[in-house]
Amino acid sequence: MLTLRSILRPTRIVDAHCDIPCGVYDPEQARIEAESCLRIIEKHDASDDKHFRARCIHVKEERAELVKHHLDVLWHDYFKPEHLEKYPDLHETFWKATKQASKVKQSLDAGAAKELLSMIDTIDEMWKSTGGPEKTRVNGRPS
Amino acid sequence: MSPKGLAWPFLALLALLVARRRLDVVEVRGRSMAPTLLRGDRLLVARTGAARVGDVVLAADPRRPGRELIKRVADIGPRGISLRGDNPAASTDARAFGPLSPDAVRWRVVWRYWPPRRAGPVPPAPARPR
Repeated sequence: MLTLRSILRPTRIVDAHCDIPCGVYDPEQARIEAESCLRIIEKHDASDDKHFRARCIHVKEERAELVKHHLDVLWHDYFKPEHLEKYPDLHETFWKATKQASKVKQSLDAGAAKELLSMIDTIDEMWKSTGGPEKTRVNGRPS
Repeated sequence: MSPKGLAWPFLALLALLVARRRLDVVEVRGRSMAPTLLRGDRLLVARTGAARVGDVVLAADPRRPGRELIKRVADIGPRGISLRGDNPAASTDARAFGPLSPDAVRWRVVWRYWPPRRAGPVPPAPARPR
């Protein structure tokens, strides 16, 4: 039967291809955005200016979305099947962390933002112990 | 999406053209066309005999049979059609594999229908500092 869904389903994948992904990955990128979320929530709570509070909410949602993006890139592009053997809970960890980022996006709960930071730290440990700093940063991670 | 009224004749025509292989629907992978096209974008493409400079087209990958590339026509010259990604820092294109024969370029992108938020004709290449 001819359905809208069947008409609109792509028949094939076309490649906006690049031979060389840049290969630079670091959970710090997600962490900085997540720290922004936490600080913005604190500033929101300390203010009684409704315009400032509205801006806080707007910016926090943008930053939380960036956390999700950076985590997705690590998940799709940095981590490989051999890392999954070492960390069988890899998918679960990323799934929970990106869900937590959604929670931070939706709420003004500082506790949720702290929880997100600790989840990113778990991912950071995985990145470090799989050689991330040496393999993906130009001169390791700056100290 | 709830097609009503005039949408059905339009979709029936679309289906007919797809069936006759004049139109097709494809999904984008990769980021060499960012920010114009992103991974997961779904596009309506039409058969074309003569690509023009600025068109976003599908072309057979000259280096890997079976793979179909999506790029923008940067130049048409005596040696063929040169393709370029809108994201030149992350694109493998004519700079790597040279111009293509016009036969290799058979489909032109006409419309993005997914995601709905960015539906519409494909915009021209972003201006970039050189």
